[in-house]
Amino acid sequence: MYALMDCSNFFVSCERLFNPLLHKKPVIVLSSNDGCAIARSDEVKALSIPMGAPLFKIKDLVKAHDIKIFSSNFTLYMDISQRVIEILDTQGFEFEPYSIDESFISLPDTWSKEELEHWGISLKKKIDQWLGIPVRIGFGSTKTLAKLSNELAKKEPSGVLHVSSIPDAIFEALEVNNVWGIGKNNTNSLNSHGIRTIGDLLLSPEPWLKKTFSVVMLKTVRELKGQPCFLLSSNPEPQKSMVISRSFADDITSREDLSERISIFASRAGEKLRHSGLLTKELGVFIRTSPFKENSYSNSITLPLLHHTNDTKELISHSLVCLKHIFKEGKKYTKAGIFMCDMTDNVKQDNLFEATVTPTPSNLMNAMDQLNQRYGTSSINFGACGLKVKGGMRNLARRDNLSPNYTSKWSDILTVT
Amino acid sequence: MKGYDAVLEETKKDGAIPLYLSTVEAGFLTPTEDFKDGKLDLNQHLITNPPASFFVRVKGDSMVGAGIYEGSLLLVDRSIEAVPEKIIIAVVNGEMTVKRLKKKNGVLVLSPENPAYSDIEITPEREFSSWGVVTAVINKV
Repeated sequence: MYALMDCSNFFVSCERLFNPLLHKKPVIVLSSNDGCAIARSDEVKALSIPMGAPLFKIKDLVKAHDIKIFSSNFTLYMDISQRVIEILDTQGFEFEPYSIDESFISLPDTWSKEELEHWGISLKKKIDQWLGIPVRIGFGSTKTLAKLSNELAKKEPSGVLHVSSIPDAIFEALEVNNVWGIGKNNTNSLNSHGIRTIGDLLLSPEPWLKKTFSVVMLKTVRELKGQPCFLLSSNPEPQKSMVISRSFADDITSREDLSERISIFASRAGEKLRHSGLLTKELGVFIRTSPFKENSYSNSITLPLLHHTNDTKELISHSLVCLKHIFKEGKKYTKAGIFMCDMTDNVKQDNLFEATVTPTPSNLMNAMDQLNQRYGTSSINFGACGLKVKGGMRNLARRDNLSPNYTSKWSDILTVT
Repeated sequence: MKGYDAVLEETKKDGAIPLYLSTVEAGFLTPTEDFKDGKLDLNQHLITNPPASFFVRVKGDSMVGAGIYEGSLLLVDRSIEAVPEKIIIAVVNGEMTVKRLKKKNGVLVLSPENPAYSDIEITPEREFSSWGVVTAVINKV
C-alpha cells in the first residue's frame, strides 16, 4: 500500500508560518526573477489567477485585492521541506521524497482503510502543529493510484482520501492528463486515438499500448489497474533532459557578459549532472530579448558533444561555441539558458579511439564540488564565469520581495514582543 | 632511540632503573582513545525535537521576571502543547508576543512578568493562537 503526501500551496504555507498576518489573505510566491506566480494561496485560486500567471498581467488584481507578493525564498523552503522529511523519518516506514513538497510512503498491506485514514489524519495533524504546513494524503495500492487520490483529496475536508472511496463512475470519467506520468504530449497522442478518460485507457489492449506508446505507458495503465509496477524510488520518467535558465535582473547587451552568464549555467549543469551520476551528449543554448518589446529576438542551437560528459570545462567551452552561432550585437538580452538532452547514467564508449566514459567525476571536478559544498556555491569556479556575479546562479535574478531567512541567518530570525 | 628490550638489558647490567622507563608515553595512547568523548554540543543539550524547533529574538521588557530580556534568544518547540504555566509565543491579532499562559478565575490570560505591564485576556473577540512553547532562554552576559 502506498501513500502520497503533498504539502498544500507549499511555498505560501512556508511564508505563512513565519508571518501570521498572511493567514486567510491572498498570497502569491513568484518564480525566480519575480516573473510568474508559482505558488498561490486558496484565496488567490478563488480569484481565478492561474498557475504561472506573469506578474505584470495580474498587477491590477494584485492591487484590487491587496494580494501579498513574495519572491521565492528557496533557502527557507528547503529548510522546511527537510523538516517535513525528518518527521516522515520518525514514522518508521520506507519513504521516498519525490519533490520539494511531495513524498511517497510505503505502508503495510495488512492495514485496513480505516487504519490508513487514521494514520494519515494523525500525521497531518502532527505536521500542521509542528510546522504549520497543511498536507494532503492519498492512499492507493500503487504509486499511480496514490498520486491520483492525493489529487482528489483536495476536495476532501479531512485532506485524506483512499482510492477505494472514489466512486468507479467518477474514477473512470477522469481525463487521462490527471494520471501521473501522462504529460501533455502523451495526452494529445492518446486523445488522437480517441482515448480521453481513465475508463478508455483501462479498456485499451495492453500490447497495443506498449507498441504505440512505451513500456512506461503500459506500466502506468497496469498501476491504474492496481498492479504495482513502480516501486519506491522508481518513477515513470527518468530524467533524460534538463534546462537551466534564468531571466536577468538587468538587460545584458555585451557578448562578454552573456558569455559569463552562459558559463555559470554550464557550471551549474555540470554540478547537477555529477550529483545525479549522469552524462550528457547534447547541449544547446538559447537566448532571447523581451518578447513584449519591439524588434524582439530569440534563437537557440543544439550541437552534439564529441562524447558523453559531465565535465564542467567541456560543458563551458561547448556552450560558448553554441553562443557564438546565435549571438547578435546590439540586442538587449533578458533571458538565456542551456539545455541538455540525451542524458544517461550508463557507462559509454562513444568513440572507438577514446577511453570509455563513466559518470564518475574527474579529481578536479570532485575537488571543485567538495569546495563549493563546504564554502558555498561558486566559491571556486572557472574563469569563464567571471567575477561580477557573486554567489552563482541564485544572485542572477531579481528578488525584490524576498522574505527573511528565518531559519538560517541569525540576523533574520523572527522577532517577538 | 633505544628499544624497550635494549633498555631492559642495560638495566639488568647496572641494576638501576632509568626514570623514563616508568613513563613510556606510547603506552598511554590506546587507553586515552577509549575514553575519548565527543565535544559538548549545546544544540544537542537544548533541542529535544529538531524538526519542530525554531529560534526567535525578543524585543521589549515584558518578561524580565522570567529572565527574558530585550535581545534574548528564545528556543521555541512547536511540538509541545501550550498549557497553563508554560511560557509561549502567542499570536494575538496577527502580532507575535512572548508571555506566560495562565488560567485566572477560569479564564486564560497571557501574563507578562513585569509589573509595568498588565494581563492580556484571551477573549473570543481577540484572534488568538499559540505559535509554540519556549523551552530555553539564551542570554549573553
